[in-house]
Amino acid sequence: MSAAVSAIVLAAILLGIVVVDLLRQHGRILATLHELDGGEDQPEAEPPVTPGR
Amino acid sequence: MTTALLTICGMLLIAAGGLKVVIPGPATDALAVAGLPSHPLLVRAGALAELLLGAAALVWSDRTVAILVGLSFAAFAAFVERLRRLPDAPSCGCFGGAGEVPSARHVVGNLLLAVGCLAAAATHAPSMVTLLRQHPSTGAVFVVATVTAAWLAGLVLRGGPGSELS
Repeated sequence: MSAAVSAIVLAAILLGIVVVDLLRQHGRILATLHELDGGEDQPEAEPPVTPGR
Repeated sequence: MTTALLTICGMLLIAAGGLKVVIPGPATDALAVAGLPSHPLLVRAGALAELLLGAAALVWSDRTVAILVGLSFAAFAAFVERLRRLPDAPSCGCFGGAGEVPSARHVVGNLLLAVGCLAAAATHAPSMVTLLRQHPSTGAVFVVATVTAAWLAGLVLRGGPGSELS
């Protein structure tokens, strides 16, 4: 295998690892967002008081 | 394959050495936590040697240089493993950053690169510059591929893209 081909193969393998990492991280972010969405309901903020009324 | 591995190692040494010359702090802290001699000047001197060794690996097709590069990666693997076993392991600071987790992947990656360099020494693998001189067109493709691979390898060793955010 020529040096250039082996370098391309190595780059492709490393790119695969990086893409899997990104997908995992994306999954973690989605899971965190899902947890936050499904968490306890926050009390609604009171409407702003308009001065003079 | 061995030429590509040796070249990637050389590029990683240049990048890591250069970054530590500029930002020696995290590596100094990591050395102190590991109970090794630590001083910013010492780290800068080591990083400069690392940078020069990386450059030599790209230029010279020399068995001694390949062995030295391989041994340096084996030493990095041992250092990261030592940090990993500590309860409150800080960043290894290999690339001058504060969020570089000393992980099993980092250790295994360094060991694989060390084996690749020793294989390059055993097979008398030509250097990147030799390849460029002998076959300019193939050499150009090789340089682009190895620069990309070295950048990706840096990301993988540091714990993946965006690891500093987690």
